[in-house]
Amino acid sequence: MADYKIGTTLGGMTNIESLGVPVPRSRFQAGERVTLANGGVRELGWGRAEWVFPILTMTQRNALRNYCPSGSAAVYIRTMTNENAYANYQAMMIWPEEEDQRAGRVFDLVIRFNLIALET
Amino acid sequence: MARAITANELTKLRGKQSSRLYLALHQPAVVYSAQVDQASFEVEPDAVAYKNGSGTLANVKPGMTMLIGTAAGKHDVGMVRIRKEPGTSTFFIGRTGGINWQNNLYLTVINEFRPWAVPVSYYNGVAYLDEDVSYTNEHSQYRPVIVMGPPAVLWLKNGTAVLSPKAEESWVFGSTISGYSWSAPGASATSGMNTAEPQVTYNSAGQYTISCTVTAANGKSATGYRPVFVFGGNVKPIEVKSLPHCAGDAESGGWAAEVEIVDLAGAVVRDGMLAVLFTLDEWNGTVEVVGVPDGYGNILMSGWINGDTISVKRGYGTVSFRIEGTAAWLARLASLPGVIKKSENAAQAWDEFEIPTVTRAVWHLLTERSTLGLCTDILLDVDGRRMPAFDLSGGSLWEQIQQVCGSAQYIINSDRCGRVYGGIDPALRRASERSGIPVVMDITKADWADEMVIHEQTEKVSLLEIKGIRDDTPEERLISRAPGYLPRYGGDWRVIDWLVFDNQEHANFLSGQMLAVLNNRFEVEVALGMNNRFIDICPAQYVTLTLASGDTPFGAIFNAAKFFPRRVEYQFEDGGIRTKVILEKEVFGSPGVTIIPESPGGDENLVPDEPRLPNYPLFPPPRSDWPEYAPPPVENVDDCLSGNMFVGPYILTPPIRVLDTEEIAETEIYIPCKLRDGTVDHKSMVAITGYMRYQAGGIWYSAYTLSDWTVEALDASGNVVAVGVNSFGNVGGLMGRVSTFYPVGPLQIDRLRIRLSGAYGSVGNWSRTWNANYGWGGWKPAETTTTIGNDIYVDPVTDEWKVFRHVQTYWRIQDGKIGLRRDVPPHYTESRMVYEFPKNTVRVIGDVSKTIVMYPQDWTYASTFYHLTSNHAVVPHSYQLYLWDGLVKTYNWASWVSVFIERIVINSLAGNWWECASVIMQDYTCAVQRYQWIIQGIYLFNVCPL
Repeated sequence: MADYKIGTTLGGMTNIESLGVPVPRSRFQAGERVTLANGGVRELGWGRAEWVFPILTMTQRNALRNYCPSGSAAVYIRTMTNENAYANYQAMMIWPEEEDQRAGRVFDLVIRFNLIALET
Repeated sequence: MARAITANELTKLRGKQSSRLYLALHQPAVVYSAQVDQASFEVEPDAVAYKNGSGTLANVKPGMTMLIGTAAGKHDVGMVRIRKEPGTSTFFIGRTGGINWQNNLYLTVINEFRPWAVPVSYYNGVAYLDEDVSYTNEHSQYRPVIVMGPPAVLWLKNGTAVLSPKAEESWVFGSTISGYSWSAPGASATSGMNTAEPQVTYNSAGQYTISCTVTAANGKSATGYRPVFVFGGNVKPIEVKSLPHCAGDAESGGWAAEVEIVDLAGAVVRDGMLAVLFTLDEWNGTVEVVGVPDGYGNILMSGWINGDTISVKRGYGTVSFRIEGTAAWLARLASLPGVIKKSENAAQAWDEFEIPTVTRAVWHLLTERSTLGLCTDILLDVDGRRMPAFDLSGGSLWEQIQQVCGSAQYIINSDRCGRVYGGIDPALRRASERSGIPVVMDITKADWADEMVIHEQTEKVSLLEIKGIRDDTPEERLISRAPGYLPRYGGDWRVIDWLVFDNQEHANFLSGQMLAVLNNRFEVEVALGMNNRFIDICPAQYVTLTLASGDTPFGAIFNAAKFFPRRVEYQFEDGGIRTKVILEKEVFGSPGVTIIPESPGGDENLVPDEPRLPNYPLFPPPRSDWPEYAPPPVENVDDCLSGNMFVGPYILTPPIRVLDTEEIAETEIYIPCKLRDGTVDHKSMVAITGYMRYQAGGIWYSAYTLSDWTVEALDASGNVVAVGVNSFGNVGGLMGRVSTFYPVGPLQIDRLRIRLSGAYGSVGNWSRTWNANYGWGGWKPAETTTTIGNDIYVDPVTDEWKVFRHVQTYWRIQDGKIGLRRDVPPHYTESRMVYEFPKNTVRVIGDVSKTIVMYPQDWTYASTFYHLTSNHAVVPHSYQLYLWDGLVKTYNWASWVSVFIERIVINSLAGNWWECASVIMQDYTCAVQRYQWIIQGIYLFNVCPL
């Protein structure tokens, strides 16, 4: 079972499927990559996760929107990392500026999370 | 103390990292509140009566801030400093301009210690610190300097937060630290409170203050105060939206940051408030503090809010402001000018030291003339070089510090946390003196990102000559020239004067080293793609850099070459902190060569035995004077001219700093403005600080009482339109002079002229340098119409007997220099013409009660000799007419002017004659006392813009 969670506290995170929201496609970036003089890279700054929902009903959409009524909101999430493992993060949830809403559906909704801190 | 990064820390710096950037705003608690109980006030009172007091009066400490407002807790009227413990009905405060004191205003003393200037004032020639503190022995038995760390930011972890401050770096001149006493109100537990390293535990979030009193073995003590911010639970810091600027720069002396925040979280922002930028850093997923100072590495920058920069964007709901570090705040603190001078024995005054050294002078400015020692650490490397005196003519504490430091290559900087470090510029130290400077890190290709910018400069200076005095023998003039007697191929010639050297060898080392620094080829900008809190502009530290020729297009090769960090910048974006450093490569020069000063009488005979120390032109930033000497804008010129308010002072820097009756005796300062009418309350006034002295027997003596000086206001054509009235003897500065203008009606002026005159006839004997006897070989009656003698004749129209010799004495003032045309020493600046009517050469026929008039009439003559009261057939006396400019002892001619005695007229009534057989004209000159006026500052008050 997928383990994508969201909540306003670390202990209060809820599996999004229990909210009626489908499992998203997720992308994960550990941090901005700084290219060094020796050719290597350093991950600098907050990581970033994106949850991509190809189609959501308005009810599903609003279930997520409750966590971010304005442009951004501080939340906790559990998401998939690039290591094929789930991890908890204190995050800033960024609601997209534009939504493609048609016929009571939202298409290709991309919710971005700035991953402020890893919570272990 | 800077330190090397450990291998473990370096691993973290080179790994994955992210940061949360926060702001802690000090919201000091109210200590005491009251209301003004006073109906009338001085312009800038140093005490104010209060009523309706609330709080514990004993908790009001010197150095705390008092808010003055129209309602409780407000500061809309202003802010002042508590200068000493209050009385039961009086607060003693630092004089602060611009406060409209009114009865019943609300006074709120808050638990805040911030930088304020502390004035030294002079009353009846005695210096007092902070209005009324008499000197006892503070400059022989020194107060210690408390070093207890910066403000701290802690997070509760498992319900507690532990602070471990350290005070073992506290120090004192000439003694040792013997005791520590800490106080931490609000702490849940403490230990070691009488040691240098106590431990303080908090179990709830909030803002606290710790204090530490250190006692020295000499019995003196000092106390410092630091806020402690504890966050956790629901008490969260303010999140920073953006950080447009955050940098420390060695040239400007410290750090500054611009921040933008969205939510103040209930905090108040005001001028002078302590603000601490800090971070919560994650290193490869682990939250940890990695940086220095140890225990405070989470601080990105600490300083005080500049109230002028607070900007509230209501539409966006953001607040932005600038946080300025210690150097910038010192530059904001106005300080009265003066001097620090050497005393013959133990110091007897606040402005004296038995051995004035740069370190002691800086200590004096930082800890006695400011409250900085209460709120930040001050660590000064001791430099024992002595100066005869220090000029403190700068308008701010920072300028005065730069003046003090300039002659000794001493630099003052503050680090990210606001701690002040002083020491010889590391780039100008000998190699052996650099051995203790730590290498913080070796920057490799694993560290830097983006492009490395290498500025290579060609030679700027081809020849450098430095001049100064010898530390232990100030009358010995030392000069050194680098690279040698001849210049390099390209570049300018440069001369730096008024330095102090250990000896000639030191001067030679320094000239070579300075030349090498001036011509330093490499300045390197390195963008470190990391959050590096180890590199700072101070204390003295190195980083090393290793580059192979192929690493940069430039092809520079550095093999662990040492560099001094001169600038450090932080950029914050999306949780990433990037550090950029600007590095100056370490260089070593070859010693210069000795130049023997010219013999006395030459240009090099200028031992600075009194303070006359211009800014060191290389390393401290240049002074910023009032641009163009024009008054700053006043909202309403008419209001200004009404004279109801006090305006200024406007600090003028004269083109000439030393007026000398043998050299340059006057100076003009371009200051187009309007003088107020002389009837207003606050009259236009100029105050000149500095001191006067006179020379006798080759020795200089203070000239406290000399009043032979003038201040004149000139129009654009150079006409004197107002003359200053020297209305006071002393002002706040040492032996200051004040002159008030009393023009009728507002008056536009173009410039001020200040002149020094010698005391006429006060010394020396009159000596006759020239004479001529105009005899005509017999009695010549007045009615005779022919010329008598050379130029003596009787005017047939006016029936006047006249000498019309056109006796010309050539005076000139050129470059302010008064002199006679003839070959007399320049200090023979007074001259008399004597017309002597030898005995039995004048006879009077008829009734004579005559007057003698000389033209021009503003020349006067000795009254005791001219008056004829007897009716003598033959005047039996010698009558001498002394002619000299007895009314005005200064001369207004701008260039060569022939001033002549046009004629002498003896009135005779019709039918009554004078007869004269001969006249002797003599020309006397007299040595005028040589005076100097060492001008340290000129302050213009109560003038208005055009």
